Amino acid sequence: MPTLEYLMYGFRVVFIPSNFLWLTLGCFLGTVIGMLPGLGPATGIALLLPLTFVMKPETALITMCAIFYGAMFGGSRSSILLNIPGDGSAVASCFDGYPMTLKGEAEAALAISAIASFIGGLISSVAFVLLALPLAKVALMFGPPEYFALMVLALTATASMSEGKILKGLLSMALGLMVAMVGLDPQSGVSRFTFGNLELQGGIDFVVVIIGVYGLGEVLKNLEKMGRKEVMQPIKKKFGRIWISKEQWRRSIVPILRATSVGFLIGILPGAGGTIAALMSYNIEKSLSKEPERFGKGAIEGLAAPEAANNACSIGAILPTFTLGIPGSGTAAIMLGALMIYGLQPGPLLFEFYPEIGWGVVASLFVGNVIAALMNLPLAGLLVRILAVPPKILYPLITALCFIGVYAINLSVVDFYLLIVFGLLGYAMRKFETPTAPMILASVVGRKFEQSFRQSLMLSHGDFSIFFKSGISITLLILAALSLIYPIVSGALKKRRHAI
Amino acid sequence: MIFARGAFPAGFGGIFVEAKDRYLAIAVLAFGLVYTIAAWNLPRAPVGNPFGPVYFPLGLGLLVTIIGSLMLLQSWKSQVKEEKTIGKHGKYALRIMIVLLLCVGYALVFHMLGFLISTLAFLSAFLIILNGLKKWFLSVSIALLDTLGVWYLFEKVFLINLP
Repeated sequence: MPTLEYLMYGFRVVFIPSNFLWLTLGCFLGTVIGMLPGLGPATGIALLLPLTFVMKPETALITMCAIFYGAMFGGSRSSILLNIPGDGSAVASCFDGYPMTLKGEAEAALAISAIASFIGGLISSVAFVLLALPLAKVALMFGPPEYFALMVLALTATASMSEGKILKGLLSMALGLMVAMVGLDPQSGVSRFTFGNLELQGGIDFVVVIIGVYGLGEVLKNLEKMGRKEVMQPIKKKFGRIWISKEQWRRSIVPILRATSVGFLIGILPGAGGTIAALMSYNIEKSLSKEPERFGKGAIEGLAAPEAANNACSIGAILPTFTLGIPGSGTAAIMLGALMIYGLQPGPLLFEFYPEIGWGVVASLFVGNVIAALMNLPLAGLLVRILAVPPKILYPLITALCFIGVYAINLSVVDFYLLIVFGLLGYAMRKFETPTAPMILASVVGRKFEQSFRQSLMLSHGDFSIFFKSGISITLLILAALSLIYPIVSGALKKRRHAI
Repeated sequence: MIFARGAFPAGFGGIFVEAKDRYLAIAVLAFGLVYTIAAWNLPRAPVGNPFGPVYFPLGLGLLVTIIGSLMLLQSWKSQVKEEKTIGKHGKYALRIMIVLLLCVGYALVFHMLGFLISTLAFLSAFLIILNGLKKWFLSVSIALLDTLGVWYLFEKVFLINLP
């Protein structure tokens, strides 16, 4: 079986000392970033992006993946101990995690969250290995019209699903595409929306957009909360043995397995990220449970399910990113951006011509999950102390990192002003409850999206019917239309039900 | 879908925009119109399909215009509940303004003063704003440590030259 051989090759890549070191460091950084309220994996990877330019591509991508699922491990720490979710996908972990702490079961809560995350991550990694090559082969059948249709689907699905607000999601998507329009048009040489500025002719680097929206925007949003007299609960610092009882294990294992499959599938779908995966699996467990009244009062399966789901989801989201070039979430979009910076084409050729990258990353999923679990079980008590770092010191340092990171891309101060503009935009979008993931996704794939559209038209000599000629593209476009119509219809139905 | 109502935190609730977003809707509509006009006035391609570089921007402009109109329509339909929240916003709005001004200032002097001085000044100022003047010594030392650390990392480890 060639897949197994490739995988063994991948493991050899992972265990090269420098890769292994960065993998461990990535897990650690991810856990810490995930723990800190307001900072999620997207911010972490965005800040690290400029630093990875000096790494080898496989090292960089391994590190980014490690941060991604490390953050999923860490995100729940503050949910469980403080009832403050470290990021969106840890919201569901508050529902039963914090009540467990109140009941004096913090140790079991921390343990089950690490165990559930580990199982979810491991099973998804196996699924990843099994699906990677077949999915990559599907991509070989895609011409420009099919790619165009696929991106339409990815973008509309992200816009309509990300946070349930379809108009704002579409607006966010349009903004991202507009950002991608700036600069010299590569096909005709026409300069678009540069306002005569020479530096803008090369286009706006999406790294600047990402660091602006996720880094600076996040800091600005957090400045708001500061100074308000927050009653910080004292963090529990002394822990007993962080482990679970047999009875708790028996209750949790089936929900974990169910949540893993739910999370993985949602991860593969474009747009729906860890937040939706976690909330959905929580609701599934609640509705399937024989004693739903225990949920919200410290039911261990109510914590195990979302924890397994968000880890499974993070790995599911990486799958289409590497095989089809369509990221499954905002964070995965940043990783797609990184691939493009290295001049790598996602898809079947990535696994064939650059096995050290394709399979190295796959193998790192297994190793990284073990490392993150090891880090989170015995060290949980120690790591939690990081939550005590005052944000008043943290946020200025992050701001400085944003600037330096942006400077490292082009060595140009013009990007500083762009950073400030996008930071402000990111802040405004959060204020108006507009999802940011569609914009990030659109600004990363925007140019390719337009290229595939115009290449299709060139193939057909300007005939628009080319988009409806192949079964694949028709199916994808129909799905895209459905993804837009569904929330509107279900919203209307909901309203009617309320009226009655 | 299996989303149970009530399991979502407040921000996830509505599928449609809320009434307070009327100003946003007007801004989006105006922006969409301006963008559409600008897209129409883009130069045509000298080679190939003259409309090649125009299709996408034009489509985007129209899309945003439509989104803006729909948002406006919805905000009109729903009963507007005006909430006066300006007083509450005042304090942190000022802080965010100051921080933004600091950032612009940083961008302005970055090349003139060089990385070390400008970053040290920027960080110290930022930290002092948040932590108060009393803790100036702590703020400046953190800023100094951080600046030197980043400088060392970039100049010596990553070999990226900072001004």
